[in-house]
Amino acid sequence: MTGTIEGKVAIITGAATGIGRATAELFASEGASVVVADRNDVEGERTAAVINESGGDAIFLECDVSKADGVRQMVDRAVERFGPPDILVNNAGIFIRMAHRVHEITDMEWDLTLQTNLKGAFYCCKYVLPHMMEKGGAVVSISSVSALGGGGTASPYGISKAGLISLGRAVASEYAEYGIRSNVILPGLTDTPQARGSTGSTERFEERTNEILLGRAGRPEDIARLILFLASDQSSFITGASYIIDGGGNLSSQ
Amino acid sequence: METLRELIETAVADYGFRLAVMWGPDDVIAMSSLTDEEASVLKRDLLPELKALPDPVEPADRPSVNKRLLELAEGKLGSPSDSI
Repeated sequence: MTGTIEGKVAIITGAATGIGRATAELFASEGASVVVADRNDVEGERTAAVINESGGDAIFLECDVSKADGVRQMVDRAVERFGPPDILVNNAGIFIRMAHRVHEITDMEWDLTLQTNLKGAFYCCKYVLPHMMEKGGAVVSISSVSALGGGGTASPYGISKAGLISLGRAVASEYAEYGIRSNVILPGLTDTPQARGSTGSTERFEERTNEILLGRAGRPEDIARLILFLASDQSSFITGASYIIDGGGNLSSQ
Repeated sequence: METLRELIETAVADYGFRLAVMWGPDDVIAMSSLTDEEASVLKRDLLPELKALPDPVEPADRPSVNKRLLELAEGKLGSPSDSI
């Protein structure tokens, strides 16, 4: 532990598993008080328990980010417990794989994806930013290299993640005067339950790792370290930026 | 039953959709054309089964998993005493 974010309060959405969990554990090890926000109460409680048993300070708050009231209540409870948040990590997201084109996408596929991935981040910003405006803070939103693609097997996902880049830049632009920075990360294939499940099969997941220049999928901890950097004062001159972290996957697909 | 069948098969094949069903069943129900009885079966009987599935359900295993879940749903829907 280096205490990079010692004494800070961090809200991390989608922190029950995968990148969110790794980030919660890293943030806690670096001295932050962590709000583990997720719909998955079983794994969310487990993440908070692991952190607390390791000497960290975490609380699990059940939250569906696609619901404004739920986000507002989560933020209120977080503030009651730890005080105003210094860091928001917009990580919650779902990837619904589909084998059809734009004109065949159902309202359900579109709405489920956009409501969680984009509207959820909007709600978190909407209810967290007012608490950050007095003393500043950092927002890190987890997009995806899919934001740069042109369709494929889940265009609503890519569209929602492209929206996150724009949301991140909007926050950077509108809140710099309050000492709030906002940056976006675009992970490539990362070894998470979501990625393994949505790839369709273990065989296909392994095939995709072979398409990556560095020869492996990202680990949640790889992404968490970049999130930590962007959430900490070590990146105090960075805002409105987007960072690809994909082991060179975007190069090998060209 | 056709809508419920599609929903089950998609949730088995795709973990992302399964997550949406598992953690937001009311949203999925509101966006679908499930009957009230089918919605009850989904929330009461199928959710625990979906939560217990491996990640991912490998392609070779999907037919048997689909069959088991469909039979479960059909059994519940055909049994008036189990209806809400």
